[in-house]
Amino acid sequence: MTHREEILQYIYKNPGITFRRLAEELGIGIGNLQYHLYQLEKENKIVSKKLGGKRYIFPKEFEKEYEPLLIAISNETQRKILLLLAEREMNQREIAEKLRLTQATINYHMNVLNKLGLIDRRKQGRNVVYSLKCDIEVIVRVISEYRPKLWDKLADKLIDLMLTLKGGELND
Amino acid sequence: MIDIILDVAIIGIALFLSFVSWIAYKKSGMKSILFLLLAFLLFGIKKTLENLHIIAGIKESTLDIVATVLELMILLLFFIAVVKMD
Repeated sequence: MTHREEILQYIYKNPGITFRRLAEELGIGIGNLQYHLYQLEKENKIVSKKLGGKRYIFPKEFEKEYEPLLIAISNETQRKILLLLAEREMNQREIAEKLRLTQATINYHMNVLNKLGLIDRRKQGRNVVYSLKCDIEVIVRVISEYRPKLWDKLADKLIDLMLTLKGGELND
Repeated sequence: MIDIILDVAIIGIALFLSFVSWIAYKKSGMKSILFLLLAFLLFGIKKTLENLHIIAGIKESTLDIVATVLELMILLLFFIAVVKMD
């Protein structure tokens, strides 16, 4: 197996792996890995995206899934919701209680996640139960690597503050 | 001298909060956050204008009127940010 095939196979086994972790786990030099990734991207076998100073690498098949996932994880509350749903399916009230946020705030984030196609809604009696639509392993891997900047954290808090102030008056 | 240092710090914080609001707006698309951004920016502008008399020969009475108008606008923007539906 060539070096490049080995890298590609590792990316297929670990979609959403970061550039640095890939270099560490395969024991390849930065320059060498950069060259192979550039070639693989040129050959349309992988896609990569920079977020929070890290480069996430996905197999080409993840092209439609990775953009929404990276958009979602750039928000703190949405990251927490995805991690909660990775444990088990939950309704909005349970999520709001666990995150100590208002239901209106959670409702806003659930709508965003739903529009991004990352969660499923299912009616269970009078409640709507939410579950993850995408690969749990990929979500946990990508989120565990993500390190938000200070202003990103503050911006997320500002969004939640505005949502809390507006309470139930929000439109979907 | 200490008042100038404090004013510079206030202008810096106002600009930082405007920047954070801009990121929050880009992430959420919430128009109410855009009003917050404008309010923080106007606050920074107001503080800058209040110190203009040191470098430019502008009458303090004129600056007082402008600063008061800006204060009114800032309060209105905060109010709109809170009550506006997104």
